[in-house]
Amino acid sequence: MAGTVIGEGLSIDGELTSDEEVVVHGTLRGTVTAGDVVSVGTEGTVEADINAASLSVAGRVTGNVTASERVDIQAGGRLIGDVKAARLTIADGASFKGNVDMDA
Amino acid sequence: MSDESIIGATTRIRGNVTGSGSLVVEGTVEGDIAMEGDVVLGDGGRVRGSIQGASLRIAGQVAGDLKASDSISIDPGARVVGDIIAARIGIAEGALVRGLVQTEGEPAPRAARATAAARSVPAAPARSAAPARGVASGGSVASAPAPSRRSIPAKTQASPAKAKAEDKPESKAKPAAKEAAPKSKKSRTPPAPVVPAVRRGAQAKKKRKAR
Amino acid sequence: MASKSQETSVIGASTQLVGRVSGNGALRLEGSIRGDVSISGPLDVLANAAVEGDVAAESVDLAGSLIGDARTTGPITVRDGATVRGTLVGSQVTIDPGARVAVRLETEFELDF
Repeated sequence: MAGTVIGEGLSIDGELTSDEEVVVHGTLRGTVTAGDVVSVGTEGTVEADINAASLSVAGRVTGNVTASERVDIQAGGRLIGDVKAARLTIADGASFKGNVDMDA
Repeated sequence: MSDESIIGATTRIRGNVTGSGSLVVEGTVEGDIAMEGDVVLGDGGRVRGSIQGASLRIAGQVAGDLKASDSISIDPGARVVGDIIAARIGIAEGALVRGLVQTEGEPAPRAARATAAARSVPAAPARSAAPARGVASGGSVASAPAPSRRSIPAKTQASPAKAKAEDKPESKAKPAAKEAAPKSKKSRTPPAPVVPAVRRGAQAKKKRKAR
Repeated sequence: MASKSQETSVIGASTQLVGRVSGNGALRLEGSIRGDVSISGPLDVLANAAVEGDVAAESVDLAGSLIGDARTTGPITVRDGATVRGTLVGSQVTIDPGARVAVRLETEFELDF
């Protein structure tokens, strides 16, 4: 029950801020600011700039991402946008379009 | 499980939340919530905006209207400022509610409020007050499903002049009267839900067109 | 409800009263009143009893019907099966599921957010 779970049927339009883990199986548009992990499930769609400790993408993300720790794009995951993170992994079978800044 | 959503205690959403499943809110939502399933607002949950669902269980605080197709229960410790409309409504001892509470099929008490306002001293005999109530409340039933907050700015954006023109005749009718009373009350609390920022509204519209 | 050492008046089931009712003590209504009720003690409106008029009492316990406003210093309780139309002003308003209501609640409190 811990954290925030955006279920498959849920759609949020707006700003989301959180200090706990945010799991997205549904749809989120706007901005996301999270102090912990943001993970986008295979059915999840995020159209938002994301600022988080780390991001894991198995679904679709469109937006610029800033992570203080890492960004992982899983197989089947799709990220369109610029990534600013110390670590970035793009799995075999993932797709990514954007610029990467790993200077952080 | 995947159709169940949770807005955690430290999570804050500014914007609208809609969905087909059920939702548990332990955090804060500044915007309207419309679910096809059930909505639970935990005791730490805060919503500044309306909540709609099949059934609602409210233990937290809400500044906005509650509407359910089935039932609404307001738990001890909950605080609600807004109208509550459902076929079945329970307000527990220890819950605080300010607003209209209406189980469907009943005449709205807007008339009762109007008469209450009309007579500064509540001394009018019931005999004369009762028919007035009956007539006026009958008329106000139609106005009960007032336009949602979201639809109002949308209309204004589309054709401000027309919207204003429409507002004028309406302002003499029930909906405006209905708005006037709760507003004066709500003005004591912080301002109404900051719902759709223009940008979000625009996106939402885009999406609707795209469908 | 009427646990205090007050006189309890009773308006019986077969009694229909038209006019104003006021006084000290508690009132237990089994019949019907058309008119305003103002008492210092608690008012009990039993199932099948009815008030058409405004009510002022220490507290109100409603299982019957009230068409009119109720003002109390204490709690107002609306029971399952009751019908209420009007404005309710009390320290605490409780509505049981199953009550048929179209009421405005005017309880004073603040939201803390």
